[in-house]
Amino acid sequence: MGLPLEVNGATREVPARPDTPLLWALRDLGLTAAKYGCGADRCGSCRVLVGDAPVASCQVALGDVTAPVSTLEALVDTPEGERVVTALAGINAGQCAYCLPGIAVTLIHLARRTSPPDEEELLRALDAHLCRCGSQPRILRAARQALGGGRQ
Amino acid sequence: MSDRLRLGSLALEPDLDRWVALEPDGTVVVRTGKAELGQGIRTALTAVAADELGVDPARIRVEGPATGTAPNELITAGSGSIEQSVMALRQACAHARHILLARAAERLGAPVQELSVDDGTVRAPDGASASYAELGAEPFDHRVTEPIETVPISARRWSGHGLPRVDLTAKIRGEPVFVHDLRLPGLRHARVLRPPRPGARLTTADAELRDLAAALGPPERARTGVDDSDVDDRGARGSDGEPAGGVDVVRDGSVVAVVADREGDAVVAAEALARSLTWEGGGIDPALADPATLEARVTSSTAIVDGAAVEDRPAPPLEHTGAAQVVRARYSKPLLLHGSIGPSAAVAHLDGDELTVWTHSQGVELLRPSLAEVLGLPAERVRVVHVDGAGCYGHNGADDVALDAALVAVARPGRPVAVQWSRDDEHGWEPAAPAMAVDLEAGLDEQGCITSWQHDVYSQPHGARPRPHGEGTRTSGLLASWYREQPFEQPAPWPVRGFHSGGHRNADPYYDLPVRRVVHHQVPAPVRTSSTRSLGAFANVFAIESFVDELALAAGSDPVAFRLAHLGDRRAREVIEAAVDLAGGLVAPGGLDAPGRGLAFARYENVKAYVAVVAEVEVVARTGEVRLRRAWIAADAGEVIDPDGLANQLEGGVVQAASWTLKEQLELGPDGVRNRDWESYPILRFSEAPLLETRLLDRPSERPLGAGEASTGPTAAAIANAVHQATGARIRDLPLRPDRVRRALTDLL
Repeated sequence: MGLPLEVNGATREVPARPDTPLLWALRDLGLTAAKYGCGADRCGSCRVLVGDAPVASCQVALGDVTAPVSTLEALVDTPEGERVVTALAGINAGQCAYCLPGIAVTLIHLARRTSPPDEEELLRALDAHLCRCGSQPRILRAARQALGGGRQ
Repeated sequence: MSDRLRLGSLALEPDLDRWVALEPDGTVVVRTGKAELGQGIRTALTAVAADELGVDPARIRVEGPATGTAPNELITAGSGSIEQSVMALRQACAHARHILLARAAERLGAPVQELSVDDGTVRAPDGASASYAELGAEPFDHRVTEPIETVPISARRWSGHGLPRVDLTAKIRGEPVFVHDLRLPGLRHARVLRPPRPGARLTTADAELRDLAAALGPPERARTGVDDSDVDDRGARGSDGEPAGGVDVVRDGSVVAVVADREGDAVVAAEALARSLTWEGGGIDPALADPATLEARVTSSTAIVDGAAVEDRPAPPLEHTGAAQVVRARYSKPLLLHGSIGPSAAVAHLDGDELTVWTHSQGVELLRPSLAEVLGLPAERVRVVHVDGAGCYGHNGADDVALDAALVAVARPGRPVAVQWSRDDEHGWEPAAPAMAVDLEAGLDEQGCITSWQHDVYSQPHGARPRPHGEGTRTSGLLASWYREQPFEQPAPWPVRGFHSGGHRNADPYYDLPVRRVVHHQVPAPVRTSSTRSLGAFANVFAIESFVDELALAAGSDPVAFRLAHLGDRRAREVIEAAVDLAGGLVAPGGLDAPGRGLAFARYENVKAYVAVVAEVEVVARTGEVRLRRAWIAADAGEVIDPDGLANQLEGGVVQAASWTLKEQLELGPDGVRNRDWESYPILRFSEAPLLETRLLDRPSERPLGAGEASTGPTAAAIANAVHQATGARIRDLPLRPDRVRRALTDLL
């Protein structure tokens, strides 16, 4: 029973209906780095990669997932992941940090590109995320440091 | 520093064993009654404990609030964690070290003054040693009632220097450290279906609810526990006795919860069931949300003297005798949301006759008896444990969702159950930040000095936190209790008589004023309102510091000189001078299109941290859009325990307050909150974030001053003052949204 889901390099059986949002399927597999924030792709807390694309996992039905899923649990152990985590932690770029796993996924995605994003691209990418503690200035500084592009 | 201030929360909880424990593996456990809310308190506690005990910070594990084990520090609020908990822990660790060294002296046969401590190992001159783990195997059995000498400033390695946030890396990496991610063995998930509007009652019949619940599958068979006597165990368990993962519905009056083994099933089922329920009654009067209506609805007025409400009836309005001119203005702020990014969550488990609740509440010690009253359990059978959550910024849904989880756990005992609110729940049902209006009047003499000052603040309630009301009163501050079959009543707001409490926080200006009259007028709110970061100080400081700029202009003075001339406290003057210096002055470089700069200052609660903010804004005349480009922050928080933690709190306060100031306003309709998502309640985005620079005026020999909320009020006024400098328009009502700014600019023409 259940639907097969390729996630973090393994195929898992997910005992859920195909219309269940991917977010909940992941969390029910114990992958809780992606978090529920708004259920409407307005805050970025639930960000994962589907194939190479950053997506709001709250907006994708399990049955519509056709590419392998990468969650932060796996992404943090890549070189780009380590760079992003080190940059964020290095300047305490966060307070409560509930938004940071989602932001880390976006930054890791940007760090994997061959050319670093310019400032405008970085801001556009981060505008998919909300932070309520007011850590945006620090997160931006850490992002520029990790990505090596944009305004320093 | 007085003994009382040096002891902090030890005055409430003098038992040393509550604060410090040594584990056999060399770990030093320090306990606190203050919750980690993102403010970094765990890091500050680690730094202080490491210094006082002489151990590496890596040896220290901080355990947060938990009833029965952690020290009772009542609540994590009011920027009090450093003043109360860190000060207490510094003394507790000093006492612990004293006792450990005395034990070592006996064991090693050497006098205390000849012993040295290196990372928890005590050494005698002859090389003999004993570890803290050995020395601390027995309880301290000691009450701390007097402060003793602590490690001298020059010998501190961590406190005052800082260490990386001890909890941050795990959170960034997405490790399961939030209560939202707590996965206990056998965990089930529930979602509570809130009414469509405050006060509505569920009219769906039990039989119909049973049918609706049954239809929630596939894939699982459903069962419903509409009556506890009617539980169908076959639906809940498979043939092999293992849970079959069925969707289960729990009802208590108008409280309906969907329970499932998997979170996804609970969410999908709750959404489906919500569409089929029928409700009647309820609703609110949205007109009461408008700050302009507050003055007409005052229920009581209290004179504020030296920051505190006194019983006296307010004196008659001032005549401003002897003033050469009198200036008047009214300011306001609307209802706001706390707006946590992570909707509130909790886990509860009734195991035998003990209920345990895991929560991100700010006050486990208040929540415990509050839950016990609603559930009809003795408080001793309820254990409440804090687990980190998303930032709350005050009294949000944390306590309410704890009751949601507890109600389900009691109805379905034996397995832990997790509940998380939806975004719609959080926006729609969290206690809002109250609307406020402030009327100011001041007299100026011929020399441009303030001769008299009058401050009338109109405020909806700031205090609706749950607290025990006494057995049998059937009053509770917890949301779901009002919707049960046997409902509880919503309590009247907390009385606001305390020092700088609620709506009169920072209403009493910090300036030297020969004559002052300050009055707090209390006004009911159309929805539940409660404590939000800095409470009344946000509106009061916004008003006072905007008005001071208006007075400086009327007096023909400049904003810096005018403030300095009215501040006798040297530390206040130095903070203002530092902020202006950091910004390079109050005039932005540039020609005709130069942005505007504005200054504002406050000392939080007139006794906590001093903060001055300079804001630089750009106003797009065509659209009315205000962009906060930069802000400079100067702060004097006395002795700085964790410099980067302090800077982070001040900076976060500026950005959050900039969001409140520029963008936010809760809108109400007859069904309650209308903006129930981030699209209709926009907050500051990354592309709108300012550049920040911060300067801390460290005063290591002064006592530390609470700072977590201190930058919000100055930020609002600094922005409004900058808009005035940029455009000539004085905007006194928040938020400074484009439509309002454009109107103000048009009015200037």
